[in-house]
Amino acid sequence: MFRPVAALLCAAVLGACDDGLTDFNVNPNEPVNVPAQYLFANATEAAANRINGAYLNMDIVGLWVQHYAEHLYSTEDRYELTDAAVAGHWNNFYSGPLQDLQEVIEQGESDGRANVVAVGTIVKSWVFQVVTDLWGDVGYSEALRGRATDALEVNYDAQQSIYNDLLVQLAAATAAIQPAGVKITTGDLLYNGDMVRWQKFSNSLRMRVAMRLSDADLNRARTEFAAAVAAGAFTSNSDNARVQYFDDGVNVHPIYGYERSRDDHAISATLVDTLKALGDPRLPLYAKPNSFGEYKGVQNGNTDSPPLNQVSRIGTYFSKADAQAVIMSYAEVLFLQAEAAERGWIGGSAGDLYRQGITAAMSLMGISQAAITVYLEQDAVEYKGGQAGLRQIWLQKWIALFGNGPEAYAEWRRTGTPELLPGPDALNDGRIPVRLPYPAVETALNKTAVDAAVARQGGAGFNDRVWWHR
Amino acid sequence: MIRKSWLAAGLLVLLCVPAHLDAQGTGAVQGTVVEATSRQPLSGVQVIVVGTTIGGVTNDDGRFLLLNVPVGQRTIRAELIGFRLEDQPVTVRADGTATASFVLTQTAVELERLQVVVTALGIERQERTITTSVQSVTGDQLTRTPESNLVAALSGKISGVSITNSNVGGGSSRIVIRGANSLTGNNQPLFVLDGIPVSNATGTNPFGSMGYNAIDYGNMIQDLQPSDIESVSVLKGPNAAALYGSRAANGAIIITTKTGRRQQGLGIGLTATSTLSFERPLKLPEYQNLYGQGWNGRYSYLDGRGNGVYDDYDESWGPRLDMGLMIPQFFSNGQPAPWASHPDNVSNFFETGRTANTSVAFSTTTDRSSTRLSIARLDQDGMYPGFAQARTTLGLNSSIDLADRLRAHVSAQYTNSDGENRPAQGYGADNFMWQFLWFGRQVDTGILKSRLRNEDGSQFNWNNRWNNNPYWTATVNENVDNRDRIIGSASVSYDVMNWLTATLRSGTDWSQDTRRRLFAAGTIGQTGVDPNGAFGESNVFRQETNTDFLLSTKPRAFGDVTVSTNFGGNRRDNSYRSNGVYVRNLVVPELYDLGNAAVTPDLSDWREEQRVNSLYGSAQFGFREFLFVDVTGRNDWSSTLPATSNSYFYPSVSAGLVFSDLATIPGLTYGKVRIGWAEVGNDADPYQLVDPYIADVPFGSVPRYTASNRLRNYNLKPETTRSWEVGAELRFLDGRVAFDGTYYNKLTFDQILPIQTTALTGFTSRMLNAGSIRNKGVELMVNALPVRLANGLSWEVTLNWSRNDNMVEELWGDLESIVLGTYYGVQVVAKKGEPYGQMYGRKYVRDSQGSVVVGTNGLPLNVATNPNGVLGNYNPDWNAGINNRIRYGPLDLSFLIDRQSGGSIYSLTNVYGTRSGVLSNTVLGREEADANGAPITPANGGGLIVPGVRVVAGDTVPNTVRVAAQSYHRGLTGLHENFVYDASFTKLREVRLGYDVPRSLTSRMRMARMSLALVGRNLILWSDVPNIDPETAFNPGNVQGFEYSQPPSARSIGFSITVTP
Repeated sequence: MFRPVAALLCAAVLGACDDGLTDFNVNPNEPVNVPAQYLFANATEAAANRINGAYLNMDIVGLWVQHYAEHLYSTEDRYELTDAAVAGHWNNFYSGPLQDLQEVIEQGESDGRANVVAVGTIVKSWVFQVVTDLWGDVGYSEALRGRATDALEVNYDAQQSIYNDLLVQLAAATAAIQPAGVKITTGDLLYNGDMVRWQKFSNSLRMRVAMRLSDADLNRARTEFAAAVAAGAFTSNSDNARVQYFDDGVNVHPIYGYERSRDDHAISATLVDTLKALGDPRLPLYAKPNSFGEYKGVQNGNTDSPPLNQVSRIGTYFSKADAQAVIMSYAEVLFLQAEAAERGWIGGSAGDLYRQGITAAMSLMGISQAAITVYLEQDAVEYKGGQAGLRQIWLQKWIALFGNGPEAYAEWRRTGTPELLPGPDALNDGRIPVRLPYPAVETALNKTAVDAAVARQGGAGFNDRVWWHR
Repeated sequence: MIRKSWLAAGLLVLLCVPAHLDAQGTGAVQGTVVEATSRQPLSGVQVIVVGTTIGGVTNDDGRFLLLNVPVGQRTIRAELIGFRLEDQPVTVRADGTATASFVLTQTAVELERLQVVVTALGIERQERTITTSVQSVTGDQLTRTPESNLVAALSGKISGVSITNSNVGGGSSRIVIRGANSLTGNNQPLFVLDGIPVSNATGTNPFGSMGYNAIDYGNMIQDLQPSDIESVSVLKGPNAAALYGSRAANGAIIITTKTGRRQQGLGIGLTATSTLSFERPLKLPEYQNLYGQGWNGRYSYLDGRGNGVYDDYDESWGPRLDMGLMIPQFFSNGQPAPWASHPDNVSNFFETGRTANTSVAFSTTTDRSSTRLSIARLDQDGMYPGFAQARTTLGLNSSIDLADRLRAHVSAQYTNSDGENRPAQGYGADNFMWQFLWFGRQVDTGILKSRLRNEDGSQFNWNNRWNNNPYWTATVNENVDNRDRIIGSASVSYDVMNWLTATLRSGTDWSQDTRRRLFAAGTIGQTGVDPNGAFGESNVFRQETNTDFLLSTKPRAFGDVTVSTNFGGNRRDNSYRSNGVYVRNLVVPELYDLGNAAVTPDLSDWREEQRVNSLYGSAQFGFREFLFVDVTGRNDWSSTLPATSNSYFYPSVSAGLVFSDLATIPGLTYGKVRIGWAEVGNDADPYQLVDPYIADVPFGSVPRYTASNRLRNYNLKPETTRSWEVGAELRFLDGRVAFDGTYYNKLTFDQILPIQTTALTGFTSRMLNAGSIRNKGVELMVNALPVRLANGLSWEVTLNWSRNDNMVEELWGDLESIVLGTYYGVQVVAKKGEPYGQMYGRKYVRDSQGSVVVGTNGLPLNVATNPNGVLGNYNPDWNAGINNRIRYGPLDLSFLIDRQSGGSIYSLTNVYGTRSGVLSNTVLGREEADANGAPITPANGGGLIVPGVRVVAGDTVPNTVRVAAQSYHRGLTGLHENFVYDASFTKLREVRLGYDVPRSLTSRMRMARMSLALVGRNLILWSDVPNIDPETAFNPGNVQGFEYSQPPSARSIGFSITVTP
């Protein structure tokens, strides 16, 4: 009875009470549908920004792997992390690039664009490897389904099954690419729609994924690595997967952006001393001279910092506004192949690949061939082969991975090279952490799944190794 | 549906009832009211028929006419503030006119309580007929001491409300009535100005986020000029929501402005008031003056960037001061200069603030119209350098009788407010108090003031790595803001029949804010390497328009029962628009123009629209003048909910029984009990139903979007607040002691809120109907007149006391807690089974005896594995205010003491002032220095031994490890427990000594009245929290309990003069 009366009154005085009301609730600020290419652009940059940027890279794992060192306010450098920082990275990986990439893939699937599905899958695989390398078992096969299901808990996958699936996904992506098919150009920050290069990136990533299993699943590592090499990886620095930032004041490299407001990161003494010992011509590119014209790093994990004027800061090559975030380089591919050759997984000369790797890394930075030759001819650099050779390859890769803290940190854990000493004021019982803990917010919101994952891994603290880390 | 049909039937019956009652017969009462000694007519006297809601006001001739008075023996009452109330019995006959004439005697003093209270819809009701908890203050009580923010002026004057003042000049005051209802939404009440809902929004912060360099632009209700306010009624329960809509679920604050009709005296009136007050900081941190800038007792300046000896360190762990050392310093051009303390370097930074507030009001009354026009101007030169604000208000209030049965009312308020160089707050180099925390204690701020720039134009400062010259941030980095606001309404009422009035009313609240903030070239921290400076500008437009129709029936008697009803409809339209631009670098330095941008500006833009349509009704029943029952109902249709659930109904019912009319109880003059129940539905914010994508700045030329991190929900339904309350009003000893007490219990459930989800879903939160909070509490008000002597001496005391207990009863499924906010490592959460607003953070590691466990280095353990636990809760246990007023002849002294008891505060002034060695507590462990000025080292018997235990081979042994002061104090950062304090405080909030100039003098000056007063606010603070005033807030939202080097609160002293020619 009320409704008719109300409707009558509404009609008489107010129009109808609920007529046209829903029109008021159409969001005028934000679209409800967006083409995949714009999500893809954002996801690629956001992932590179996180993995190669100022916080996870420069302020956590890049400190632990002793590329950078904190000056004056050393906290992370002494292995203390705030839960908020860990939660920030965890939340942003999943709700940021990973969710967007999931939607890129779903859009590609629903309208039959195989190339869109493939590039979404390749970038998603890159990000997921970083995530599982940092945290071990994580949400994977059940993750990124918030739109489809009301379920508020998400089960974790064992790292082994994540790795197995990453290898499957990358192989499938390479195979699915149709170089002449419909593709993303605007929005493809890495290759601007060059699908052949995407195939190379996919195969190169597959090499990186496979190599990580060298101690945990040797057979799969060897088979997959060889298959990836056969499928065709990077062949020059122009194949590098990288995001090019701009000197436009807005889309600046994240380290430049950070240093606009704070100046408290120096180069690690470990890195400076290593470069100096080998007379590395890259030293002036990696580090700025201190006020006395010297290159001097800061010892990691030290509460008593030297005066600032004695300290070398991060070199302009890496900290300028239009620096690159290198996701994967030709040099890394060569070092991976050198290791595989040394291990006998593939043919070829490990020493040649090693020297080519150094050459690729240096020439990318503009070092002259003459200087490279001088460098290569030193006794200490000359390839020794065997276990010593592997350590040389790994050391060069550690140097070349400067700017990509997460990959350097994973490889340091796998190879133990270089040998790193914790700082004098290190916490965590004086041990360098070998993984990130799950954030408290995850334990609170997804407790059953986290408990199961922790039990399966036998612990998930700073000092508990992930599955592939034997 | 059944419930709705029932209501509809009821409303229809009610609409019909009066016509039916009319047949029973009514009459009229007319008469005059005169003053006892002069026999002059008194205008503005309230004349009512006791036990009904029938009433009127005398005109200039002192005449009144009351129509539609139910036949029979009736008591007519005349009351006017300042006069003794009079009752007269009359006999009303059908269609007859009875006469009652009153002679009112002026009383020296009476309790400061309004007998007539403005309730919802602006209806004035006799206190005895009110069935819910309402508390009123007069405009006079708000303006007794100078406070330009209406919310802050209510502090201590109303029970059951919790007011948190930021205490920053021009900053915001937060008000919550009966505790937080909403987990994550707005918890502040609805403000209604002369029947029109008005915004009390707090300023958004376009530059810098809350707690990090942000500016508090204040809450918008401070646009009102307090001297224009006739009265403020606080409707505490949600019963008013039927008449004002969902937003009144948090209570409603009904503001009535002065009208011409209320002025006494001649046809034309003029009143002018001027107040001038002076402000100084109430409390500054206690700084140490033994050690200056540096590290490990060493310091020497070269360039302030690290090329000298620790000259880039912005901490005070350097050499001992005042022992004759000569050290190069920032002003000495490399030459050694005396290393000397400057104990007043911070207090000298502050200036004496000056606030002038002048208002002039004209009023005119004719037999057919009344008008009041007011103009006011507030000017404040703040006590921080560069800070100033001004407010100009114009008010017009006019009523006209257009025809016999047709009346019109128009009101308009215009406010222009602007601010210059409001202080930045929170963690950041733009906040001058932050700079004084990260400071070299030896720095002479006078030198910084005298010299802002080096010869090359760059910033001149004591440190060039982390800090800005405090005068640079206060004066060179300008920020300005300006708001224009118009609140206007017009209504027309027509007496359709003599028992039925139809009213049409429309009102709007429109405002436009412009905010601009400049960062000069060379500013550190904000735009560090952007060489030529940066600036941002933001504009915010808000508008709310309400259009109502209302059918009201006058009270009609049906035997012993009197009935009055209202039925109305409302359309509410809200719109909001903001746009902003931020330019990170300029072509020509310090030319702050968009055309001079060196980089692509960051742009932002946001619009919001919302509409709610409503139908509502209310009825009041009176039974034999001692039992009153109110029933209300409302149905809303909101644009923000899905079409399937956008219509929702909510009712309320309440009753009051004046039991003192039923039986005579010795000593009891008046006694009433009340009981009430209400339910309120509420809608969502706009655009919470469909998932959006968020744009990011294009990467080069490539547009970018990302999926929102919050999943929206197409199945939202309205949330609900359900509440009941009981109360009693008692008066004893001939009304010299009055008591009003209320117990309430309310539950808000099905709350529309973003529930945090694991990011593994691809989203970090999801909009759901989830969660319930219960608030229950007690409010007490005692009003007494202990002294009233024949010679005119009187002393009146008013006490307000309230306590609220809050419990988060449900969240969502197994979800244990929702994080409301995390600042500086401390989380404020809503946790199931705990009160709202719990603060969590790192605690000391303790052994089984409770002793602090220290590590092998002798310092308290302070690592991630320390326990994380409850540090406190920001909500106070209870609030109280006691006001005393002593009057004798022309003298009038009043003072208000305000107390908050309980509640916790996490003080970052203490955290970082301890870390940086500037606070006096950091002298501990470095009492003695060596000949070079360095503190005696632990190895030589200096430093300190932290009281606690060490774990050695599994056993705990007393700690004997000596540590340096610098290591100890710096190592406490992050141990949140150490810096959480009991925020209880008592303040001498208001003092006023007034003097009414005798008539013999004023008449010689051809003035009707003149009064002078000495006034003071926030004069004394009693608190156990070191270094800060615990009454502070850096954020007007639900995250409270934090202090981070906000500017100090002000103690103000001044005088005022009021003149009526």
